[in-house]
Amino acid sequence: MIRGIALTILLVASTACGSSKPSAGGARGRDMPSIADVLRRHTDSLMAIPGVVGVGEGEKHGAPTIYVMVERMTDTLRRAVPDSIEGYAVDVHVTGAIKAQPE
Amino acid sequence: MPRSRSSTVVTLRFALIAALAVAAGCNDSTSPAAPRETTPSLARGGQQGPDLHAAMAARAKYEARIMARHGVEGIGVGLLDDGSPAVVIMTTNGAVGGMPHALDGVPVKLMPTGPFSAVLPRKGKPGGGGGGGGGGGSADPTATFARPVPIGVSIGNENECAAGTLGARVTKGGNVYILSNNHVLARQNAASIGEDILQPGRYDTSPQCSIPANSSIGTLAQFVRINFSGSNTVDAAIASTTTSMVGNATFSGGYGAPNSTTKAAAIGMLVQKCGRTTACTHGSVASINATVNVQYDGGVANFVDQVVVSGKRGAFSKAGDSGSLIVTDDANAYPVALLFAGGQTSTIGNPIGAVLSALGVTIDGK
Repeated sequence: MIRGIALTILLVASTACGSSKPSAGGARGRDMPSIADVLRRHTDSLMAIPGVVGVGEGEKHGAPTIYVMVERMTDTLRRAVPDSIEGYAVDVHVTGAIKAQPE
Repeated sequence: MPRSRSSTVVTLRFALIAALAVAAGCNDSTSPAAPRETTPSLARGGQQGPDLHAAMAARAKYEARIMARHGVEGIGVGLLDDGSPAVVIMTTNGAVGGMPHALDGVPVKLMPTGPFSAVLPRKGKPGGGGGGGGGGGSADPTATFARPVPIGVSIGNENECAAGTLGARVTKGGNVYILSNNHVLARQNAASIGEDILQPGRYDTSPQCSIPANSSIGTLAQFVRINFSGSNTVDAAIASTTTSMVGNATFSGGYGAPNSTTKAAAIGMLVQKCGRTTACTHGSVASINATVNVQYDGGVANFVDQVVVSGKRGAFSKAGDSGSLIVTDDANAYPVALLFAGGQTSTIGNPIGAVLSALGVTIDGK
């Protein structure tokens, strides 16, 4: 029982850690580049994927993410958009085409 | 009994030390965020190392007690909407009674993580259309308003049957102007300086597309060209007007006059706008520093450094809301962005600082 609590503390400490920063996929935290640098390096290639209409800085569970807007979700997009880039989670949102909004 | 108790203490102590070690590892990986946050292009609220340490310490100190509570899924360290560190308590679903607001001075943020989809307020759109969060029995922004007209209402260029939104009244060198988009006032670069700006826009006149007498409330004064082969930051224009033609506050049901001081967008910031189509709606900033490809009649234009807003209930904006001023959703109503585009679930705005500096104007607000 007590061991269970101890385990829980450990687990929570590690999962909480995991959720308070992007899963680094082996990258060491102190080496993580800033989200701005990552966006600068990867925005063009993400925008070049057919169906991607926007790329920005987002946030999920208190951690910065790469916010990707797509016209609609397709299998091709699922394959083409990575789950994470340089340690930052990629958060995909279906927004439809972005249009100027006059009537 | 004493033996098992002491081994218990040892076990728990070990767990806490290990937890602290993990926490320290965590801290190592997040603390480089501090210098990042000072990057000028990423003004996301100051965050200092020491505060993060305080949050880590508070988390470690209280996690056993917090975790013992029913409905708590986890505990960690995160950021508040303003970027300041907090102890994040993850809950099964929504509020857990009796949770502290702060632990050793570090604010506590409750975060429901149970059903994952509940985190995102973007499920199927409500079928009815018309936009979310309208202002009850407020005025119809497409109507013809008595002069001076409020902000947030239908306007358009005399030479097209269209309608957009009067964003705000702005000033420059003692003169007053209407602020809206290039594509509302200046016909996507096609207009000449001096063309009349009408209230309402011709799309909203009766018979539709007609130009009733006395419908001009100003003349096109200046616009920032939309570049269809390079990148843009703003879709903005101003029209000369007078204080007897245009007021500086919204119609009834809106937020009133915007602040003359602006505020940079931050992720999670609560915002509102009043516009021609969906009237007054509320939302939150989902993304900043966004690069977006926007479809116009004249082609696709690339925009950088944009603000992305998600509606609180339904769409934050629809066609005809272009030109609306997006302000903070509080009594201060600080201008944050100039609305100009959107998709099914997202609205895009130009950062207001860039809009005002491109045109050399300031908000004529409270």
